[in-house]
Amino acid sequence: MKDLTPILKTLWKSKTGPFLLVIQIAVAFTILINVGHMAINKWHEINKPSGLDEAHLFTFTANLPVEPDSYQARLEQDFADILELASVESVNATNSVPLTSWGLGLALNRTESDESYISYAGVYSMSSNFVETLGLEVIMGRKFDDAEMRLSSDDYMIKSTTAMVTKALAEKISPEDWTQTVGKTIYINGRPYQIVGIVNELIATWPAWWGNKRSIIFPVLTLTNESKFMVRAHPGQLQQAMEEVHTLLMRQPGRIIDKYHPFSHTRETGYKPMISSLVILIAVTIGLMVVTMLGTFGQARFAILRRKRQIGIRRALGASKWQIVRYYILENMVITSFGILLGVICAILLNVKLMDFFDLLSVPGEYFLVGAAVILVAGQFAVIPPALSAANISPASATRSV
Amino acid sequence: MVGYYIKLAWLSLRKTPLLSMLMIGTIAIGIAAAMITITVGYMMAQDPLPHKSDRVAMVHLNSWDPTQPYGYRRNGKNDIPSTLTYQDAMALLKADKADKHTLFAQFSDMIRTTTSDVRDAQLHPIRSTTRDFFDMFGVPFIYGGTWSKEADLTGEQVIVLSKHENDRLFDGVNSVGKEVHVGTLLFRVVGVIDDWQPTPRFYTHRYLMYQSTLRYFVPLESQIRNALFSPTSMGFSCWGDDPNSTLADLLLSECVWLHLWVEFDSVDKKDDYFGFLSDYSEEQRKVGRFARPEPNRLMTVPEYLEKEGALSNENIMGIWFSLAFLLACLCNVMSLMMTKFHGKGGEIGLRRAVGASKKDIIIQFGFESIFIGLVGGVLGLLFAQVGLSVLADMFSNLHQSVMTMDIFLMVGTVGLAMSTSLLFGLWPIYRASQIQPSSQLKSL
Repeated sequence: MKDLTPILKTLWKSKTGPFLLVIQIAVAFTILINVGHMAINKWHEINKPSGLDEAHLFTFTANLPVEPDSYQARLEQDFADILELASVESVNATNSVPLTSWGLGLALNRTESDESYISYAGVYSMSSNFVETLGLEVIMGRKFDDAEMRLSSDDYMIKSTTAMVTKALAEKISPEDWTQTVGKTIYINGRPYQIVGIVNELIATWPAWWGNKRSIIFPVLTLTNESKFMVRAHPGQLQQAMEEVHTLLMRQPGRIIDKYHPFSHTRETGYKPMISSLVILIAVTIGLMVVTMLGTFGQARFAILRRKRQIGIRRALGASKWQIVRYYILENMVITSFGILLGVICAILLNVKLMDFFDLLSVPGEYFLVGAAVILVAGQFAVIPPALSAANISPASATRSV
Repeated sequence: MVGYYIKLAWLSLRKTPLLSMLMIGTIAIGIAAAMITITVGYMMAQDPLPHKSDRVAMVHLNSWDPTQPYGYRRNGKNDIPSTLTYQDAMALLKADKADKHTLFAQFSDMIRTTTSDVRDAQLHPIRSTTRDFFDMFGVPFIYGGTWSKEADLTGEQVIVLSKHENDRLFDGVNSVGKEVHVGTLLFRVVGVIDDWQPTPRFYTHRYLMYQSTLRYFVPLESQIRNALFSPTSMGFSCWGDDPNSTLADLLLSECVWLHLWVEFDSVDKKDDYFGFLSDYSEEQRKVGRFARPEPNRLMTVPEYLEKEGALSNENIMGIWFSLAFLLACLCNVMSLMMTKFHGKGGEIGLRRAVGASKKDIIIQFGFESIFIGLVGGVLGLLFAQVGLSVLADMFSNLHQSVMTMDIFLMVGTVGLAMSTSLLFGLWPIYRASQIQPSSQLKSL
């Protein structure tokens, strides 16, 4: 530690180089902390469970090529025909397919007045069998019984009296104890709904919505000339089921089928923008680390070039190689620490700004610790090679020209 | 003289290849990062209708549910719908108070030529609109033109194709007068438009603004007369208990689904038109509609883009991050320059001793930093192009034009590299010019 005083004195004497390095490290630290935080948040978002049996699902949109009076009969016939296929386990129709960003969201209230707002929720209104088709897990209460399920052609606002919610939504409805949610009544647009069951997970249709664990399901399917189908194939028979269902439906004259995709495709497309921005965040972080290390490396070399003679004299006066290396390691640590200190301040300021912009949480304390450790270690990696070469300068050559 | 300094700069770079490469590489990376984000931001925030974006405005009427607001704006205030009900849209169209009106919606249907087999039909989204769409939004035609006024009124079955579809269906020949099947109906081609992609695609919703334009256009009235309706792909919002499962229901309902844009010959007419809108909603209030307090809006293109947040916070943040990144890179270059010029103490001393003034030294190294900036900028431009093509590949949901640099940005890139390189070189150059000849010559 007795090196510390001369180090500080030397740094003070020629301030520009170290000052630039401090700024670089501060900028790097600020970005590293905030980008790292965002990248990890994105990572969690992308890997959220959907609650669906994704591997065996495929979805599509198809029209009902009949007059409006016959929509219900046609749809029920389509269901029956599809179910007859040996490769198909279950089928249903829905108002919106998860992760396709196309659907309805509604505000839930505790009473008739919208003053008692609870939360926004993604809305699914589906035909019967959806628990089986989607592979949902009912963890509390019951699923809808067949008498509750309705196919109706005059409905947009959902005219049921019951609903099921996801666990994440139940936690919003009953913040003290979500298991108490079953049996409670919530209001949407002034209309009451009784909650009869809770499913563990069912992701809302918007991949980019941070609240997309909160979904509500109604036992109603609105009939129009088009329907969105979800089909669950028997394990290992997805490909076969997709071919068979397509052939079957196309037998009907006037049939239009669109967006015929396995669910893996839907997930991939839905999350593509987020995955892309995650890749960019990671690239920025890596680029920044590389540039900072280059900066530290250049700075250390500069310091050594300038102090060749000084090192030679110290060596001639009996300093060991280790003492020389130690000097540079310590010097780098001092500069890096100043940089980190400045960086911490900037990072906090930036984080506050970002929290205003996005619904981001504040960066947890351990990010600062990890960030500081990473920068310190990276700085050492950059400084050790030139320090070692400095220590290898022979005293004789370094002091020759004095 | 300039040539001599450039030669000196070149020799100096050759002398310390590693250091030079580091400097150039660092500038190139920093510039590339900054320019990639700036390009995306700049292209996203362009004025999509130059010369008349302040004369073209979107009509937002507050016809929504009296019991609750349509939604909330990002500032927390109540929002009103940005689309209209059929009855309001038709009433405003009939009143004809603006100089041009464009009303639009969309549907999807199977499209094929009359000579091809039914199984070759493809499902396409189709823009249903009025004849002024093309003129108001500056859509260029290759063949033919928009449909007649009568077609708008009578719902004549006519269609405008994009160049892409004309190439696919008719091998690119002039197809005006030929017919295509739209579902079971026959539509006559009246025009073919050239490639056209406004960036942003300002006239629609935010989440659709960077996607490709549609490839088929038909009169809105032809959609309505034939009850063509695609509820799973067309956006519409409803309140109340009106039925809305068919197009006929939708026309009578309070659901909002039609975009209305108006154009004025001069900016002054905008206020008059807003007055007309207020009168209209006042009249409607008397018959029990328009009970909400929030005022109507008449938003010009820039105002609408601002409201929809066309340039998202993420883009703005990306630009700031990359500028900070550039700053870090430049600090790095600055300390490398300090190293470099320090190593040249002997040369400086010698030049000074044989008669060079401080000014000469400053010019010499000034040239060197600009030279470094130039090479770094050109290299950065290359990196940025690579980065943008990687981005275009990753964000295939966005239109390519967002990821393309125009000539202004390219020149700007190199200019930014050179000027920042010089700016951050100023201090090292000043320091170098302060070197005393005597102190350096001693040790030579």
